[in-house]
Amino acid sequence: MGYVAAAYTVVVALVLVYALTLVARQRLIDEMAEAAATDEAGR
Amino acid sequence: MRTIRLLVAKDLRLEWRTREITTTVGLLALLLVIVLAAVRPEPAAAASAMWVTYAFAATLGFARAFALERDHLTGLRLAGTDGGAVFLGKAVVNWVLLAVVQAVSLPAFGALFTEAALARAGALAAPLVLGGVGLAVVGTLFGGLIVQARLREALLPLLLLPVALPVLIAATSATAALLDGASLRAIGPQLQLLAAFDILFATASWLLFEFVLEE
Amino acid sequence: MRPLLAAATLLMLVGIAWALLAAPTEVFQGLPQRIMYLHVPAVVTAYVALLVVFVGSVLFLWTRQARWDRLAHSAAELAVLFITATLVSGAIWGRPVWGTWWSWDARLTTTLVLWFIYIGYLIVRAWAPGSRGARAAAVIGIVGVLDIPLIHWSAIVLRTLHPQPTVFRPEGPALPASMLPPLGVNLAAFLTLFVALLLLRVRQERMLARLVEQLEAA
Repeated sequence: MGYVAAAYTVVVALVLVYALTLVARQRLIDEMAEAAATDEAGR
Repeated sequence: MRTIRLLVAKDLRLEWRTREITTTVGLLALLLVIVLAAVRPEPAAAASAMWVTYAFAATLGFARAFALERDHLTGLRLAGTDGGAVFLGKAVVNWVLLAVVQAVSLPAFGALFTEAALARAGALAAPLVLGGVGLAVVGTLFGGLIVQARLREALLPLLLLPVALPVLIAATSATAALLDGASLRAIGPQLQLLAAFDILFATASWLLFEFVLEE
Repeated sequence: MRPLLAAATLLMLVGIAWALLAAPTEVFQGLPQRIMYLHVPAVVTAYVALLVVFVGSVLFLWTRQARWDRLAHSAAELAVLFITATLVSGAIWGRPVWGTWWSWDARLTTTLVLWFIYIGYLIVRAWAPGSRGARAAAVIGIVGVLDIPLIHWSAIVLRTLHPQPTVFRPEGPALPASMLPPLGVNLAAFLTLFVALLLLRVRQERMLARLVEQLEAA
């Protein structure tokens, strides 16, 4: 039972971690986009 | 063809004058042989010790070979030579370097591991040359790729060793068999694999080298 | 993109539930055999991802269009993800059933080596400056896939000359028909997830590229 749980947990965890890095990167990009937009507006 | 010969001659002449690469790499390879022999001097360990040493020499030597161009492939590019010719030229030089290391270290293997290394030197030429070509081909391709990358010396083994694993597996297996007394016919499968690898990757690298040379 | 991700998540949940609860129990291996419903889809998806890296790399070198590089790069990230999942799930499956975490069987060796090659892809992409990085990575992307049959062949050569004590076959004997539906669902789940994540990542890279252009133009 432990082995099955371990395997499923690891695989799901891997996918979640990747998804989380995508989200984090997206947040960064959105921030950059905002900064660029306000820059433009400022000109 | 003539371009290739010129390129090879230029690099070999340069190297002969300074002998930087051959000396350093050669000495380090010998050092590794001694360390491996000190750790486990059994005849059974000879084949893997040999190929670990050659792989080591390859990762050290091939990273430096492009440094001759001082981090810029501009010189080669401006010369207008086609990528394939440059690749073959560099690969031949790298192979020669490795072959020198193999030749020089063979007596060391003979003395420290097993006399069979010298006794069967003729037959051993088959896996050593075919395997050496494989390492040279992939090493040259990747060496050129990472010329401007950070930590170039650490990157080359990281790239070379996984891709060249078939070479190392087949060559070590063939070498071990020969040292054990097998005939060349017996190692046919390994030699076939090595030849297939060499042909496939020489062709692929020859085609891809254009992209390696670009700025 | 969002509906695809939602569909993928749903399929995964259904697939995992089915695999864990409703799928038939295998006679010889018992419970650990359920890991197959993760392991097989993971390896299939990994190889699909590698194929995308190969195609993207070739097209990038051929057309020099940045979007192919973005595709190849995103697929390489996912390839490493799914190869990791394959290796880990395989090892965990192997331990209780075949008594070993690892063996040098051709398939395992190939998968492990590919993990290193495509980690190398990602590192070179990150460490070689600018467009050189993209081109260098593309070369690696191509060479890595070309190497697959040779790695596999060499591992077979190794094995026939040094026979393994245990025969490692992750699929076991031919699959009973009752296992095919849950396997199919999980396979669909993994592939849908791959496509959803790939599209998201590619779009992200595209946005980033446009932003960088904007900032440089300013």
